[in-house]
This record gives sequence, structure tokens and C-alpha cells, in this order.
Amino acid sequence: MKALCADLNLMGDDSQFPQEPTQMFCAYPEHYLEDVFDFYLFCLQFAPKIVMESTTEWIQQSTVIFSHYEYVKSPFLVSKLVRLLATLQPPLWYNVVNLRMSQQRLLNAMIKFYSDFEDSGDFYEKYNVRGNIQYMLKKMGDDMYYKAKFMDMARECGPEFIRFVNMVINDATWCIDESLSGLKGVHEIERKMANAEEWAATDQELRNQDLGQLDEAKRKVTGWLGTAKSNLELLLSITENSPEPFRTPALGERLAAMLNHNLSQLLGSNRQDFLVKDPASYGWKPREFVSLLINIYLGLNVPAFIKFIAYDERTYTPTFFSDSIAQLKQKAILGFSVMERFENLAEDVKKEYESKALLEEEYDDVPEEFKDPIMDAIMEDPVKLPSGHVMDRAVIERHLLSTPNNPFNRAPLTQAELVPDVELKAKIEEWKIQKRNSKK
Amino acid sequence: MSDAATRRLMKELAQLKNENPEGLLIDNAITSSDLKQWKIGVVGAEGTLYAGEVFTLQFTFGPQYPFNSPEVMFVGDTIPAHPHIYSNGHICLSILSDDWTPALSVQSVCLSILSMLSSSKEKKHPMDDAIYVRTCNKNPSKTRWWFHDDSV
Repeated sequence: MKALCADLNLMGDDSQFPQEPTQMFCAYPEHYLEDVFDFYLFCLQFAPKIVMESTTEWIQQSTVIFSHYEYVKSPFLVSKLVRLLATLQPPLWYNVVNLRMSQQRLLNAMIKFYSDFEDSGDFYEKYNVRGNIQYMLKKMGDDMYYKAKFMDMARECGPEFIRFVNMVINDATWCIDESLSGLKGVHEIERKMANAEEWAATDQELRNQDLGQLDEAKRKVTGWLGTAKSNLELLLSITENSPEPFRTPALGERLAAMLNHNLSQLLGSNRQDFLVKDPASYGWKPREFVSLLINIYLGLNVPAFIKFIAYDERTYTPTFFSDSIAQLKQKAILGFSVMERFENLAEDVKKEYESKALLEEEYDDVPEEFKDPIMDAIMEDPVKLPSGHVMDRAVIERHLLSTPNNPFNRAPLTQAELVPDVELKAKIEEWKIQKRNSKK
Repeated sequence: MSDAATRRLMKELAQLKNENPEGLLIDNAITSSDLKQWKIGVVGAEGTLYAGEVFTLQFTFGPQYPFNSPEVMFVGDTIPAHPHIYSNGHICLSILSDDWTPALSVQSVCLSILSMLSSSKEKKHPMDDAIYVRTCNKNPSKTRWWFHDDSV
């Protein structure tokens, strides 16, 4: 620590730290820190009393290091640090949050590391890291200062926050898919077994294979369902507080598609596929799950998002929503007021859907240069890439969220490098107006 | 399937029919009505180990296409024996997973696979074929590939 900042005042603010880590700090081997983290993790687990009775400076120092995690090269070392911080409970936890330096940087660091870990390699460790960060966020939710700061960040919608929310949507989508496909697997094999006669007649080897698959599916469901739920809860807490991030097409479209898809899975004609014996043993509570989804919809009751729901042609049709509402009522999943709000939302979405159908007929024979080269649709906001290619902003931004490179030559690319093609945009607008006029 | 992805696939199909690239059997390509799944015949190039042999490639497109790669594998009775192709039809090719970009297309994927066939020096499945085929996920895009080498 001394190597980083000669006379650190733990009560001071962040400006004491250099932009780049000092050479002295870099020269220390990583296991210096790792051993310290391991030691405290061990103590917290097996001898919390010792930790409680000793000084707490190490907590503050660890927090400061995490707030500047770019000083530490190995993402796995940082992930261990995250685990250490997440393990701290009050009153020790207050040493983390009450630090002046934390108030400045901690949330930023958490949100940034959440996305940064994406490419660091280990697939399962990613979920551990994110689970720990989510847990920390939850603990911070009780603190007015951090709650307000988190809301401010959401409202500002900076690129880091957008990236963070994108990761949450990614993970939620993936975990729900895995859990539901696991449930489906369990359902299928249980159905085979339910037919006792046929089951007994099946070849022993095939039966063993099925039983093996059943076990695997069960494990899968238990594992992913928890993560799926905590990701949805996180989404819910973001949407309830500030729907701003979801006004951007890159996130809004994806969240709308994800919600629609899962609602139709759970309430649509295939819903029987997810029936399993003893759902509680996996923590599978479909009713709770559906109402979580509905609450996310309701948190986003803003015009921009209603449009995204209506424009999601993979799943959305007016009958899909009305059927879902019928199901929700029949099973009495939602409380009365929530139900009413959802019906209103469905009504708004339907209106949007109908007005869109009118609009769409307008465009056929769009000139090639007005179309996005990747999606082949007329461009709303054409932007130029450094390579000279022109793409629609919504398309390239969506691509950049998951892969920060130029799709045409794989050169690194960031959002800031996109240059609006004003001339082309004007041309497209003009062409649209002409089209509209010639129709009248 | 989203409207946007369908539009893109329709364009790709029209382009393929129009250009009819050598080595691909486009005329009898089978596409499901929602365009979610395609089957395309590929013919081994002259002068290579697979000259004149016909194989079938199956493409499955998810709703995130073209942002996410399609699932591509060999299907049918004849799976080419090749150091990067498993006997269950799964293909180990970087552009189908890590190196996918939305600027690639059905056509470019088919041609890459053909050129992969052409440069093969021996008709043999990968070393870990037996174990992989028994333990892998049915969906090849869920395999986390370890790319053996770039020479073939």
C-alpha cells in the first residue's frame, strides 16, 4: 500500500492516487495481495471473532485497491477481492461503505468490473463475480447515499452503465434459457417414467441414460434458476428506480424481446412442458417468476419501451398479450391492482402495434445505399465507421455492446468513433417524404 | 424469429440463388418455412481428397442472428472425415464461435468450410473424436472449442 501512495490518509479523498500505479507497486508479486486476501477470507469464515477484535485498516485498504482495480493486472485476483468484500457483514461492512474514497468510486468500480470480467476467460467464475457484486449492490441498497448515487448513474446512462445493464440482460436471458430447457428435460423424462409399463419395457441401458440426463437436468435447473432470479431482481430494481437506460434501442429492444419470449414460454401453449414433480425442490416457483416478469414490464411503463414491446415481432401479437392476461386471471397470479396496470399496459402496446402496421406499408423498393448492410432495413440514423462502411446506429451499437470491434474487419472500434452521416440521413428523409406524398 | 432477422435471411437467400457460387448446391437447398433452418449441399472441389463427394450442411438461426453466429453442422449419412470435423457432424471452426461477425453470411461460412475441406491432407476425424461425440452438447454452439491448429 505504501508503495502506491507514500503517506496515504485513509480519511482523505481520491486525489491522493496517481493515474498510473507506481513502479514500486507493480514490482510486487501478485501473491503478496493474494495471500492477504486468502488469509482474511479464511478468518472471516472460520474465526470471525479474531477479525472483529483486530484493527480494520485492512478493510479500508482492500476497498481502496478495489476502487482502483485497474492497478491490479490479474482479473482473478480482483475477483478474489470482490469475494472478500462481499463476505464482509455489518458492522465490518460499514468500513467499506463509509470510506470517503468509496463514496467517490466504489460503485463505478463495481459496475465496470461487472462487465470487464466478461472477457477474462473463466465462464463459471464470471457468474461468481457477478453474484458477489449483485450481493454487494443489494447490501448498498439500504444505504441512502449509494441508492441515490446508483439512481443518478442510471439516469445519466453513461456507456459503463449501459454496458453493465447489457450484461445483466445477457445473463438473465442465458440463465432463464438454461433453467427452462432444464425443466423441459426433467418434464420429458418424468413423463416417460410415469408410463410405468413402457418404462419397465425399455432397455436397461437407455433407462440409465435417461436417469443420468434427469440428474443432469435437475442440477442444471437448481444451479441456473437462482442466478436467473437474482438477475431478474436486479433488473427489476433498476427499472423501478429509473427506466432511462431502457429508452435506448440497444437495451430496450433486447429487454422487451426477452420479457416477451419468456412470458410466452411460461403462459403460452407450451406451458405444460415445464410441469415437473416437486418443483419446490429446485426452488422453482413459476408464479413468483411470472409476477417478477410482469413487474419488470410495469416498471418500464414509458412510451419508448411500449414501442419496443410492440415492435418485437418474434413473439408479440395482440392475442399473445390477451391470452396471457386470460391465463394470469385464471390462475390468479397477480394482485388486483397489478393486474389492472398490466391490462392498461397491454392496451397501450396494442395501440402502438396497430399504428405501426399502418406505417409499414409505405416502404418497398428502398435503394440499396439507404439500407443497413447487416440488417438490410432502411436506416434511421446512418453512421460512418472508420473503415468507410455505413451502418444504422442502432445496429452497430448493439453489436458493439457484445463485441467491441468493426464487424467488417475486426479492428477495435468504440461508440465514440462513429460519425453521423448527416448527408445520407437527409437523403433518406427526403426519399421517405417523397414516397409518402406520391401515395396520397 | 424476429422480423429483422427474417429480412436479413431473405436477402441472403436471394443473393445465394442469384450468385450460385461454385461448390454449393443452391437449387435444391431446403429452407424451413420460417427460414429458421436451412440445409445446403456442398461438393468437394476437384483435385482435393473430397473431389465430387456431396455433403449436407445444416444451418440453424437463432433470434439473435446475425449478432450471434448460426449453429452449423454436417448432417445426413455422410459426414466428411476431416481433422476438424467430428463424426457427429460438429465442426471446429473459429468463425462459427469466437470469430463470428455479423458481416459474415451463409455463403461465406459455406465457402470457408469448403476451403477447410480442400486444404485437408488426410481423411481422419479429430483425435478426441470418440470422447467428444459421447460427451458433447447436442448444440455445437454450446461447445467451448479449443482450436487445435490453424494450418488446415
